[in-house]
Amino acid sequence: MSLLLPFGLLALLAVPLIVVLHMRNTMPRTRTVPTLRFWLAAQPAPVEDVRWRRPPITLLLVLQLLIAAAVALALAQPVTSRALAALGITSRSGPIHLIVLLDGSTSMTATDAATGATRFDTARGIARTRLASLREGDVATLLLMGTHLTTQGATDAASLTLLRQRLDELEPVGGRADLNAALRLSGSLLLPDRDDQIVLLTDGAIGVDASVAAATGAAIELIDVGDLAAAGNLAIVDLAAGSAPANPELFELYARVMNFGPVETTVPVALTGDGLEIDRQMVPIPPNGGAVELIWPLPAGTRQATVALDHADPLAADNEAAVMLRQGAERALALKILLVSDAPDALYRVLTAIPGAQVTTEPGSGLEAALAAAAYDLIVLERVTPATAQLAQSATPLLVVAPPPGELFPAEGTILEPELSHLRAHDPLVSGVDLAGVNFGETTRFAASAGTEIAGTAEGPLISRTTIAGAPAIVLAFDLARSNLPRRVAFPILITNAVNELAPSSLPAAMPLGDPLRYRPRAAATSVRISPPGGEPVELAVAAGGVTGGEVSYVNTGRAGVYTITELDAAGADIGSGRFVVNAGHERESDLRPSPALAETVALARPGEASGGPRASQTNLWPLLIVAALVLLVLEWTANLLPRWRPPIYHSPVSRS
Amino acid sequence: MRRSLVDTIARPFQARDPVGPVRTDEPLFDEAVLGRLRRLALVSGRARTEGIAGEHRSRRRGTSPEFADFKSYSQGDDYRRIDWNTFGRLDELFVRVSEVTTELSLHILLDASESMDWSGDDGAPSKFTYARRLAGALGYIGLWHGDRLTIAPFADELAAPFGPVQGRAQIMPMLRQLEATPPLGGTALAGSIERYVTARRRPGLMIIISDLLAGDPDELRAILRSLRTRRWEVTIVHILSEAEVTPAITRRYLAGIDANRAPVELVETESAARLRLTPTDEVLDRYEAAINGWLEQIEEICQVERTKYARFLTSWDMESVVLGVLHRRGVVA
Repeated sequence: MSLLLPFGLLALLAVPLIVVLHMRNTMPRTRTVPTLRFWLAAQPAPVEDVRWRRPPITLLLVLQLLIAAAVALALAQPVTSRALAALGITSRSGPIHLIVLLDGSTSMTATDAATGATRFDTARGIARTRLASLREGDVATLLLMGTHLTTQGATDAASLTLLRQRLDELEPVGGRADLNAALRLSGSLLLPDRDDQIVLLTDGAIGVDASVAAATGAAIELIDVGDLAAAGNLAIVDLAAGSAPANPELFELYARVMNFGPVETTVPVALTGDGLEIDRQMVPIPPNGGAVELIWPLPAGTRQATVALDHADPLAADNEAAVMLRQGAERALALKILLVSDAPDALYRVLTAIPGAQVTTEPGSGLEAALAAAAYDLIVLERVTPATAQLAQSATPLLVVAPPPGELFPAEGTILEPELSHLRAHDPLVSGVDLAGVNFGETTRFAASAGTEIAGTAEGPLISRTTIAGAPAIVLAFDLARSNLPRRVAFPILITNAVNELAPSSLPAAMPLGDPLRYRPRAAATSVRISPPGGEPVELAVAAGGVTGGEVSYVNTGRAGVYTITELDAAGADIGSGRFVVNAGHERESDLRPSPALAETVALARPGEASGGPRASQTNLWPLLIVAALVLLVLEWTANLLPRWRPPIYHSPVSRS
Repeated sequence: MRRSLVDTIARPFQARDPVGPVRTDEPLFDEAVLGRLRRLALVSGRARTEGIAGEHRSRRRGTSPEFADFKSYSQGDDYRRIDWNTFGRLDELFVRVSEVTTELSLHILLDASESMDWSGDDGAPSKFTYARRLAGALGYIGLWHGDRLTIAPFADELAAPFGPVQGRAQIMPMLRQLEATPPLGGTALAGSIERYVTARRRPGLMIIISDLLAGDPDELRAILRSLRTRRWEVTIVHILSEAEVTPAITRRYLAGIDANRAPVELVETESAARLRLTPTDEVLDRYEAAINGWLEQIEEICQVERTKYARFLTSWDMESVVLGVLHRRGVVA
């Protein structure tokens, strides 16, 4: 129960006032009599006359105190939520808008020992109950929180029924629930003609900004479905593989294991490579968020490494993590780059440093043969201009550096000392690229093209984005040999940005549960088929055009395991495939302990002007208290009229002075 | 226009406060009551003296003008009493015998204390008004029959008495005097009576009209004994309000219509002493027992001291009840 107007409790000052009034010996009515002789004989022994007496415990006093207390509480406008609502005693006067924020993060998949159900199942049951209480005219919105928000609404009886069915079919999204985003979205969904109420169903292992909560515009009812007894959890929160310093051909595996329980726990940790156990050791893990870092050298040729904790805890999914090693998993999807240059040193060093890149170098004269021999994901041309017909045939993205003037790049002169005069600072191509102090050297001034100038001088462009023969291309007009850029940090960043923009993505070795996968397939791919572990494959079309064009975004990574991704061309043929692993362990989500500040932060949320008044799911008790006060008032009057209920009066003879 | 005396007497009782102290300017009688009073006479056993004005008949025969009988002449009879007309017709001497008449000295002591100026019964007059009416009735009877009347109000001490007077011409002055008599203060019953009888040489018929609330019953016993030894014939007319002796009316007076446990503060009229109480049934029962015991004690004292005692409640009707009681008690005949 909470109070909407706590200052109303000041009316409780009437309680001691009533007691003080009852403690007074009030003056009764006066009657003259001829003599007191017989009354004195009829009286018991007189007592001393006192102005104050002990508080008489009478029915009148009790009733008056109850009336004062009821009125004071009514003025404070107490509201309660479920207790009275369950009895059907509510004061809702109009339709409501119920917004259910359902936590679908990884931690919600933990199983509580008391019920045997997952926290998500418990939360879903509560949400089902809340939805079932809605009436005709009410509006419901269900927000499933995970790495991404899923919103479903219902505005009539039919859609409400459908929403309940969808709720039953929901699976936790996994990952980390973004409560801030959910509250912002909820705030924008508030309906001015409805009594908005927000119900947050979570295990408490979630955070929110106080400013976001305060700006929500509606009170939030927090329902904690977590089980404190199940808060102890062990998890592999990080798993990564990298080249061994001593031998780049071999890999080392890094794992980080955390213990969120209150006591130190020693668990067996097993390392498996391609299904064969490589190592097993007993590892003590300190309590209360303590971590242990483990490093193993992996045998050569290992394609998939898996680390597992042999331990039973509420969240079993984060007891195992796997990683796909690059030399095995991504061979089919390795980035193939053709570098055509007569002096490729600077570019070659940068390109070969890009993870997963396979760089083939050809002189300027070997371009035609190279294109005919193999397909590439990216062609880098330095001081080489190919024939348009050749490029149109391959439809391969291009990175063109210092192109010779010609048909594709008509020249209008020379810029002797180019000085950077304008730059699209927010363009991802120059993200992190510091061009200050760069001497570009004498540069050919090309005619303005239909592309976008990223950086340039007053006389002409230096870096631009354009399309050549239907394929995306980035053109660096300056000659690397005359510029000092290759000797600056900005150079590898610029080239890497260009390759990332033009070339297909590399698959991550492993990713957290619920994190969305953004993947750029090779240029020939028109769609991508993703097969989750134990689930139906999903085929996603490759988006076309724009800076973010050519990408697919896959968000259903809520299930831990190995995912297979296959690129398909326009004819539906398989042009390459790879795998990636989704691990459930996360430093935040594996911590099942409730956030102590969550309730306080959520309590900052207050109804806005548009949705004024108490929450309809809450029962405003002031009408009931006023009714109770009136009933007590009637009883008090009745008792006052019945002589036997009157308080006794102390008596004493007093002589008038 | 000046109102006639009879009109004044016959004027209906003025409205007054239902309870508590009452006004003293109420008329005491109407003409119908006075007419009935004329037919009554005071009865006294021994407190008479011979006199011309008296109308009280005596068994003694004497020389008064009032003819009583004839008797045969015998030696020594007064020649002047011989009826010569009878001698002429019968030729025998007869002597006219006349009846000796006596007059009565009536002393009415009227309690004019503050305790008398009270009525607890809605609709009934105050005890003082009732007492004055009763004193006026008795005085009227006495004056009508030629008795010598003295009315002496008393409270803390004796006030200036009315009388002694005799003759019917004093009736109206007596009534006016009674009407004009106010309540005087506290009560000193025994002292007032003692001072009154000390100043009188001859005893007579004394009627004490009082509520007897002053003093101890033993004081009453002592003064009655003293009066008896001095040959005073004493009658006590005890005036009480029904609110004093009837619990139901007492409760109604104290607490109003919602009776029972309403707390009240009692204020004694004479001393202003106060008593705070809740008139519960238990308290009222004890009060009734106390006042009944006191009344029994008063009656016992009067019986022992051979004093006529008549108790009246102010709610009683003057004509039908009061005079009847006085008649039964042998005060009037």
